[in-house]
Amino acid sequence: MLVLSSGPARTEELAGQLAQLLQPGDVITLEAPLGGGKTTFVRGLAAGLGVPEDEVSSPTFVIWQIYEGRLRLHHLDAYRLRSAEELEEIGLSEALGGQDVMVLEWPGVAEPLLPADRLQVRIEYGTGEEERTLELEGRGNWRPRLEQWKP
Amino acid sequence: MPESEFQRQQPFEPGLLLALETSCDETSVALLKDGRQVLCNRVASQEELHARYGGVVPEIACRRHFEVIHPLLEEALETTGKRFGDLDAIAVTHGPGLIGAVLVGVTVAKTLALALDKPLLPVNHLEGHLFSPLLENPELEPPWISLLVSGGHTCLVLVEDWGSLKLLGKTRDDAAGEAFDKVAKMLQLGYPGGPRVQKLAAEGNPEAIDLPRPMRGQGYAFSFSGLKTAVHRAREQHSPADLCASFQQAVIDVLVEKTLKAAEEFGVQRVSLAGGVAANQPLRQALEQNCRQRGLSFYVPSFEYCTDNGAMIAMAGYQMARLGITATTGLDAHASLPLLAWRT
Repeated sequence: MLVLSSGPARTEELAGQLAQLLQPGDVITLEAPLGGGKTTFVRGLAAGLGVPEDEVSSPTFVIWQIYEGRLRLHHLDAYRLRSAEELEEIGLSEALGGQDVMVLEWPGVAEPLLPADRLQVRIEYGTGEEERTLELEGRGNWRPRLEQWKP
Repeated sequence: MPESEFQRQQPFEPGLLLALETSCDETSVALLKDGRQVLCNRVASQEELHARYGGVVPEIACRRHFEVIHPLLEEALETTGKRFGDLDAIAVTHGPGLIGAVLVGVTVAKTLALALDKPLLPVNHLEGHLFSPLLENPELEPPWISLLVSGGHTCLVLVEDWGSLKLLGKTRDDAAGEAFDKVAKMLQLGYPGGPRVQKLAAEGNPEAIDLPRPMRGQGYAFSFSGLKTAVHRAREQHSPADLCASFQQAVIDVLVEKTLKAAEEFGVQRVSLAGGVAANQPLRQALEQNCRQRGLSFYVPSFEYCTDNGAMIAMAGYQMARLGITATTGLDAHASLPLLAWRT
């Protein structure tokens, strides 16, 4: 599914809508170029889960942030991780498969650890400076769930 | 914030104060004598531990705090020839920070306070940074304007009085230190990003690229996310050195401009710079020079007190004691904590 966003405010809004579909144990992978709007997307997702908005920051410095909302939201930045083993070391497996929601930036190295049911989000720069395209792909049980979503 | 975390009592001045700081990736134990003399300030940095992951990993940070806090505590007492019985009060960071990390310090401090039957002083990590210039400038008195810049925070605070802080503005997105780290990431300079960007910037031209000065003229709020995007867009046409130099200059310009504006608006003669990014030499110089030109006194802690440390927590704890604010055994760790939480 391709969704066009006119800017950060719209991206947040779209993510907020997606948050309404979230269930315990969900995994979202998030890919975008640097400055592409990953933090904006997660801020919207968190707001949609009822997390106070100014609590959400990019996990660049602290690579793993946890926010308390309707569901607990983990936000992990795997940009500099080099292997699935390193993700194991920092406890990814323990965080997956529970009741929490995981958003994983730069999920490449995590591939072997990820569940079959997941939502893949890819953000790309659009034509205008603020524009972005959001490419959403539902895997496993996310496929029918995403089909019901009307952005 | 449950009110039962704080209590009011007769103001006092602890002679020997022990402080614990575990909010992020440094474990620190300090001893402050008479609110003036730092007897010791031991800091165990976890930087190397987290460097391989390219950023702080909360779970790993907690575990390491737990491992090192006791040896650090013993070391602090041993090197100063003090004993637990000599302590008059214990101060601890109870937020904001990584919840599990903060909890290590809070638990140890609560246990000590209870076992020794000494007052426990609750310290907001940011108030620690705010009061850090007092460690080396005991003559500093309110009111002053503090620019607090670190990896996790960027804000301007008016210290109106010892128990009266006014948050003038903060960042809407990335903290200044975080923006440095992201630019470093973009240019593949490694971790931690701040010092590496500063180093490369020294070889570049700060005027090479016309980058935006975000939020200029818009009150005291900051925003560095757009600046990072602008650097990303310019990176094809310019050298990494010029990108770093121009980026650093843009950040400095905004920080300096807003700080001076605040000093002017509130008629304050004293300005301080604090937090990890205060270690950035060009920023220190720019703010100092601008303050001097306007006849303002400028205060900045030495490097050891800019990055997270126990001494600043001791100093802030000392101020809490002077206000008669102590913690109950209900003191908890908080991931986010407003300034002056005890007043609300």
